Amino acid sequence: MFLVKEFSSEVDSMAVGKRLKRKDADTKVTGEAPYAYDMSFADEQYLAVIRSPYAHARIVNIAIDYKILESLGVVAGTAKDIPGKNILHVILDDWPLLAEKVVRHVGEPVVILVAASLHLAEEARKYVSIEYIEIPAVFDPVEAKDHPTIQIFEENNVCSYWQQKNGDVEKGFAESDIVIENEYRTPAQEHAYIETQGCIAVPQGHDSMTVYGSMQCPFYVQRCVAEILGMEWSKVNIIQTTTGGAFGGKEDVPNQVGSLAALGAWLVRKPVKFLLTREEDIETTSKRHPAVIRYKTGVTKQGELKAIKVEVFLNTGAYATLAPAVLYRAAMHAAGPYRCGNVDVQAYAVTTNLVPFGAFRGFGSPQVIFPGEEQMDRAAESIGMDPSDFRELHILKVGDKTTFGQVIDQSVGLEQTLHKAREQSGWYKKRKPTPTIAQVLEEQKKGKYRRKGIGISTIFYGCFLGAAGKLMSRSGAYVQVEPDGSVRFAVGTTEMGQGMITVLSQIVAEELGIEYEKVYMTPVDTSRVPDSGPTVASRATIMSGRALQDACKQLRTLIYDKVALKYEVDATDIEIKEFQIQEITTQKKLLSVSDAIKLVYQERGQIAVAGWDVAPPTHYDNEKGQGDAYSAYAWCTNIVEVEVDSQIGTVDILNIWAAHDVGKAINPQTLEGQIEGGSLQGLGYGRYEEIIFTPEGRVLSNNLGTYLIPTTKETPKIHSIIVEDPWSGGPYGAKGIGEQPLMGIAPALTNAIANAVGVRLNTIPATPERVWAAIQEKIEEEKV
Amino acid sequence: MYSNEILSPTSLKEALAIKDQYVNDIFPLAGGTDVLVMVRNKLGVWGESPVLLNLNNIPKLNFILETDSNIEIGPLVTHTQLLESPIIQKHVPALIKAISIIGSPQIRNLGTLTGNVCRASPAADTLATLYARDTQVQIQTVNNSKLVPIKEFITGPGQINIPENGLVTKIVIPKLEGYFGDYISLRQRYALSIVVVSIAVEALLSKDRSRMDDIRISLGAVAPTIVRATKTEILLKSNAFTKNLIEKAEKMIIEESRPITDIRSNKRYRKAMTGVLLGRILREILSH
Amino acid sequence: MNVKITINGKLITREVPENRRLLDFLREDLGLKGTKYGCDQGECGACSIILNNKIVTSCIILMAQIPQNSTVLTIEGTDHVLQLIQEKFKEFGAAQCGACTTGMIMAATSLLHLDPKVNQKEIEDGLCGVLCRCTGYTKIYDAVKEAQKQL
Repeated sequence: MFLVKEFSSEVDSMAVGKRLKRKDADTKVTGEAPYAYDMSFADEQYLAVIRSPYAHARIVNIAIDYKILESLGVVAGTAKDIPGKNILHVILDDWPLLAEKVVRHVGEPVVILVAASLHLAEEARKYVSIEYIEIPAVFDPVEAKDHPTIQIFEENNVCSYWQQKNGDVEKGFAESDIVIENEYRTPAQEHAYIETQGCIAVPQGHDSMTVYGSMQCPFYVQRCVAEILGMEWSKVNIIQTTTGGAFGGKEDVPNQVGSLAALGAWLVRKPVKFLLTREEDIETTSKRHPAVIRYKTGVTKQGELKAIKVEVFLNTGAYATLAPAVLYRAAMHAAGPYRCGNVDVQAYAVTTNLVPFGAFRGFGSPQVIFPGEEQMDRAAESIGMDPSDFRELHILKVGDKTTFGQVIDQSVGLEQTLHKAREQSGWYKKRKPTPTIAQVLEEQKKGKYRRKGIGISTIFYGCFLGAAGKLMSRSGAYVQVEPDGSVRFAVGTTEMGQGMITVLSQIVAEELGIEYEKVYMTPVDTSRVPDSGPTVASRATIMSGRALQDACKQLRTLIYDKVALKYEVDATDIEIKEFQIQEITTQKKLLSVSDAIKLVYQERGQIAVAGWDVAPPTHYDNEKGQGDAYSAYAWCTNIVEVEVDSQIGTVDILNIWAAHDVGKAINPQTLEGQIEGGSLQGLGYGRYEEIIFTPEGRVLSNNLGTYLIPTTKETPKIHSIIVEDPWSGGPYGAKGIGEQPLMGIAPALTNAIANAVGVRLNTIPATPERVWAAIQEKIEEEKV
Repeated sequence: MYSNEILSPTSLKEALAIKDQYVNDIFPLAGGTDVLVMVRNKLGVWGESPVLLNLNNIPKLNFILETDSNIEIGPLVTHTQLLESPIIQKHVPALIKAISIIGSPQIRNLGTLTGNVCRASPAADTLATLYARDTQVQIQTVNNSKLVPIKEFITGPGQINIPENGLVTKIVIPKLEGYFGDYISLRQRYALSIVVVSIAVEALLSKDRSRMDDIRISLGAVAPTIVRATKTEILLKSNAFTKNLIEKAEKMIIEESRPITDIRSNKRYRKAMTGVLLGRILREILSH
Repeated sequence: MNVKITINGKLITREVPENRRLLDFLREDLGLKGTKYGCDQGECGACSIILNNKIVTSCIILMAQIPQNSTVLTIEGTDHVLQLIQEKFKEFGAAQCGACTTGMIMAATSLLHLDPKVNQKEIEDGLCGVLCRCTGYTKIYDAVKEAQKQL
């Protein structure tokens, strides 16, 4: 059902598959690329937000000394001043812009202050006093689910539920020789994009509103601003500024940031700048959902994988925001890329009184992949099998059914990634028998306390939004050729550092036979570009790519028609090769593509077209726990080599081998950039990063000196291995790469730690304190 | 961002006069890596936007001197200067080891040793070695100058014992001949991070290497200030230096240390690590 | 105070509040917005510039602290090593989101000014003061090493 251009090797390509220089590099290395904080507007005002100091409280009274504020030139706004609806739409519409009666997390916005300087806006805080009555709060998702008295979301605090059901899981456990059962905990991870959140709202009186800002999904912001201001969507323009990293953190949060700025601008009828400080950003914006996962695996001594049972409790924080979608991905990825006939996954998203958690690269999957891949290793260990061999027995191959019953009939490169990663890492040579704790202590006595270890994970990634997000799985594109032979294209997906502009430009160049250097992307402005759906779920290259292919195909036909007329050849007998238009049968070169475009222009032919794409169908039946969850799957094997100090518990990472089946590498250089960066972020998740909350629910690690991401000195050698098993639905066979580099690093790391010193962790990150405590526990258990 | 008034004298005399006049309403500013962060984050007295006494226009406060028995370091000397100084490299190698892992090149190019001393953080990398060296701090006022032992100068986390009109004008590190000096720190990250536990040792073996003639052990991040492990020091000085003694010392220092749980680590781990780190340094000495 | 400072080879004399940060002086007063920032407290390194031949974080320096007749090199400056590293960053895809890029390039420039022959370990030490969340630092190392070959 999909048109796939046959695409065999790089020799044929004009742009796709090449390491072409990034389109955005020139202005980024000079610092000229304008970020939100680099912009200024005449008469701009600044916004300060008065936020809840409590995790859960009733607002009794908001007293604002308007007289003094007026004399100072400061304007205050509360929920009552919102001209439209006090709702930030994401999925469930439970998230207000400004709290009115109840605050549900520390840092929740209650009042905004707008003034000519930030200093003045901050000073004006003292003229607003908010009276609260604290009410009991809950922070743990297991505790919050069905909480008898504390109610945050409807009656049971469960804002979303997904399940997987396959076979008979109890029968499966009964048939198992060994059953492994553990409870795991994963932390809140902060995106720590280097550019903090920020938006500037510029009103045109009360007629229309333009919002500039750092964001992933301008069309989300457009809807929220329109609904908050009670304006028609068409009167709200959102312009994305150069975005300094996002990783999911700028998916839904700019709805809030942009809307707060827009409300301020509406009230004062002047441009309003709202740039978050690092502390404000970490304390009050989304992070990766912390989770509790109960995981039970049954195997036979021969190595059969008999049953998998998983319970997932995602801590969503105070508002659902993206939780139903995040939970869907967690539920679908919970049993892993394996064949297993008996599976039961029960997944709950539970509201608590922490900051609302949200999208973060991997989107719910890293939380279940860490336990899942730990369990696979423990299962292999329990029957004395090499963990890579054990996985190889069970991984999905072409024609296999996933645990949720989807038959995958093509593009399954997992086995290839496993083989390549194992080969390049020297797995069998490096993998030494896991020591007993007595051996570790014996070596310590001889002064040898550093031990190496190597660990593995095999994962899959359901590409794009899948069945839960299918309504957004469409994409638009405009393409226009210019009389000088250059091409401009517009899509609504965004560049945030991942390299999308570059990759899409390569696709357009390839499709039209135009030099890559002559292709330009229009900056994303919702009034000028089509809605291509959100820039999430590793979908931009594929979905915007497909829409661009659709547009380019139309444009090619328009060009061929004019050429056919002029050269008196058959329009169906024309092709593009090496930037030239030629007759297929005679292979005669007719003219360059640039000249053909000039010809179309002179002939008053159509030079601008729109493309559209709808994702292949997906369907998930949550009652049955079965369905075609995603259009396609990407696959990956990670191998991590560590050195552990068994006395101190420090874990140094020596190497990461990351083998990814991406279908097709449109640009191997930017692809490697994604693998390297994602792997390091995954390493951060597994080894270093953890948001610490106070017992009152406030973020304690609120700056980059207490929330620690890896520096150059923690970074191992990262070996990117690209596997291309094409997917017929993707442009040139591509499947996306944004998220999977992060997803499987944590368990490969903890499995390597286990191999080095013989201890297992049920909680990440693998801090020295945790590794050391696990070693001490084992010493006590085994009384050595 | 900063609304503090700043006074920038060009001589020490002038600086002392200003301090004498403003007393507790003015705070000295050298490298600023800590002071400016404290002011920005409105921490404690820094939140009141105090007047800042900028010392950077007094070039005479920038010196590293070697005298017969001491190394003297001026208040404007940065970490990078110390790292590059042959005097420090020769006489206080453990300090070089400590400084080389502070922050990042950016921070080391700005931050000063005197700033470290005056900020009195129990986790400061440089302080453990300064304690092991029985370093002295020179405090000057308009009409007075005195040397105070560092352990009397620092009284608590962020707290120092200085007259309200006084400025620190010199750090005096005694030379130690024939000593083996070492410093080990554990941290959450290898760059841009703060100490979880640290230990500095200065040890003098007897000629026949059978005993410790002297040993000074100081611990960082296990108490409100850097502390000397005096009981462990006594144990090590009063017995034959053997493997067996090292094991006893490991146990004793764990016993002796009183760390807390905070954002960076927990009490149990910190306590255990004092033993592991001391053991490593002592075994190194024994094997040489 | 009256500052006399050479920025990117150009002598600048002007009146400036003593409590102004060097970062704000560069960005707001001089319009040199190539110097970015990310934390305001010397933890991320995005605002790194070269002051009197040393790499520093401009967010925690007040104008009062800077000696008269100082020299500053920012990303906008003209410098053989700087331009070479910029080129190599482009060639190797070492800039992704770009928010740390100019700080990272300044740190690399400073490192190679001090010693063009630094090894991998020294490159890691030299660049550890700038946090990058996109690249895994790998392409940055590639770019710096390639620049070294041409020095």
